[in-house]
Amino acid sequence: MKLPPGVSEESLRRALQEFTTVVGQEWVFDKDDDVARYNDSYSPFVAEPEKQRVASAAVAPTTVEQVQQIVRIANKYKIPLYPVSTGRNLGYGGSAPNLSGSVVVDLKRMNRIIEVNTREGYMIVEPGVSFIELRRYFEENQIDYAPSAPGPGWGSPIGNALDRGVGMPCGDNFSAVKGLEVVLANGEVLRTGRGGLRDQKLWPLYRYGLGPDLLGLFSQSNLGIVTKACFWLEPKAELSQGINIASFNDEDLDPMIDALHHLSNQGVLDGFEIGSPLRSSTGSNDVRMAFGPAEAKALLRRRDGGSKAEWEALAKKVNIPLAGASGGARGPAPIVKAKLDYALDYLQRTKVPGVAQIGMALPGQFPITIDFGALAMKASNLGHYYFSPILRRTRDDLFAINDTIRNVFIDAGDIEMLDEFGFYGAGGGGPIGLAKEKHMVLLMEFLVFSDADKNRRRRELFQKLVKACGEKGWGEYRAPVVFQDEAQAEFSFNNGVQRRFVESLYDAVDQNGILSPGRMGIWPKHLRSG
Amino acid sequence: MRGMMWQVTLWAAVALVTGVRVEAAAPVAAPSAGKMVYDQWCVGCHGPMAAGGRFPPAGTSILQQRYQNKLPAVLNERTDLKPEFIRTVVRQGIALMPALRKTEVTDPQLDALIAYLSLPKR
Repeated sequence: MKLPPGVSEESLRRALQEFTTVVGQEWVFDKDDDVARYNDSYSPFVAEPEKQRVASAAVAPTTVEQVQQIVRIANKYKIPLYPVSTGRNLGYGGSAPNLSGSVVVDLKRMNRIIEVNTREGYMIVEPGVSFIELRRYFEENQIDYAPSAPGPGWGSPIGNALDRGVGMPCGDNFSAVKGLEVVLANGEVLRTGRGGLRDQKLWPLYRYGLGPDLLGLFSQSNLGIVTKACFWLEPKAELSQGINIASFNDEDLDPMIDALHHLSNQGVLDGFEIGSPLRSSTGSNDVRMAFGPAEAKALLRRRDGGSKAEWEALAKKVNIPLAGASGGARGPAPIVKAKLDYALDYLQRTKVPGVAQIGMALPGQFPITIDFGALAMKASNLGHYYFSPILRRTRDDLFAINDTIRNVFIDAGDIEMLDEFGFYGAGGGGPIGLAKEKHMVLLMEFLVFSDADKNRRRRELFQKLVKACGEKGWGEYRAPVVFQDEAQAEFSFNNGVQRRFVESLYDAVDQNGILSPGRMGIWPKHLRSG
Repeated sequence: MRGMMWQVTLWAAVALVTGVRVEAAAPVAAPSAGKMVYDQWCVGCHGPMAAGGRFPPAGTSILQQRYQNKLPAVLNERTDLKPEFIRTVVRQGIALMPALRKTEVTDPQLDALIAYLSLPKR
């Protein structure tokens, strides 16, 4: 059993014994076999098990009152806790804690759908409900809403939203959260916003209380354990459809972006994505997915990334556009059709260069599976983790971040990674630009291998990317557990005032430092370095 | 008109339909309870390719590559899966497949899943 720092085995055993009086012996896990299930299945240290972050035990409550009792017991024995909703944010750490020896509080058994209000369009759920369970419940009860879910749907809407994950088709899931119920480090229950009133009828409908908005304090956070969330629901769309523009000239991307910004700001399009189809066609470590020509890969291997003349000549030769953008709309079919007709007319009327056409109609409801799909076909199928910085949706920023990343790979002499990456260009979170965002998320997979040395080199590369991108304003939107300190360090404005401010909150509300020590780089006083 | 509201305990519903009680009381029903577990936890990765899809789901893809048509790549078409093998893979994970915890698939649900995957196939 891995002990948390500064905690004796006797203290931990006593705490676990007291946990059993709260949840029953069956739901306190301290046997190696059971505890190992809480390791990160996709750990960057998969080939170096001695370096993995591991829990000492796990406890699985079913009620808020049980969570409160667990927190009070943890305080008594100074046991660090690591709450997870379903522990399925694979690629960002799964259910493994930042601090080895923490006791995982597995909230999977808290899986009640407490209320679905179809009239006002909201739901109140517990953390253990998964996207798949929610979808099935909506279908069985003919509820005309569709959860905006990430690809693998075994995760939790609450867990995903709190991690500020992205769903399809609507992007940022936390933006749909309007109220939270939280067990604080002292065991008290707090409800945010209108949940502060005696009569809480407005809790799911209006996110603010009176005074500072508390909601955001509990996302990517270790200031409390979230036990309920109120979400506004996205209606099933009768139709989702996009409009695509493509050109064989790189400079045409600028007027495309200007036009799509205008159409999005006007509410004609929900969102849009930009990219460079020819460059992006090269990237993949699965030959069946990479369809780009070898000449493009060769240009991207060069430090200058290829000249304008070379790319234009190649684009004409292989007949793949250099500049591409797509916007989308979803909703009732006649309205979507009218919006896309207007957008097409606007692009023609304002003489936006390139060829514009309306894309294929997509279903109003996107599939929810537990499938990582094409990842299975890649060079390794032991798992992966994500490098995922945020960038502006401009041509300058898109090319600048691509150049920065490629040069990190070139400097490191990692041609394999350079080829797999190719060139990033896509959107802010949803297919065909349906997410109402003004940024882009660059999502890059780092595969894990059975070769420990290769994993070490890739981890070093990841750290270099975090730094190289962070210095230019491209911070991570979310980071794997084992890289959260580095990702947080890039938020260094005014000597890291953001981190220091949150640390002072943490110190004030969690004197024993028991809740998720180290989450997103926020450590309790006694574990802070420097 | 008032909006429609539901109050449910999903855990109770899942437990009821996926056969927590099945093992001891009605072993004949266990495979059907196991199918519920399969549909929730396995089919997303181990089912057939969706209509219009580019690739089969992850698990089916991997098994296709591994077995090269010598064995079915879709898991519930297999006839050779041994109970202990299923138990080990579910609890420990393998390759891209993460381990499933007892809070996700309980031991009785795992028994029901094993019963379902052990059914004779046509």
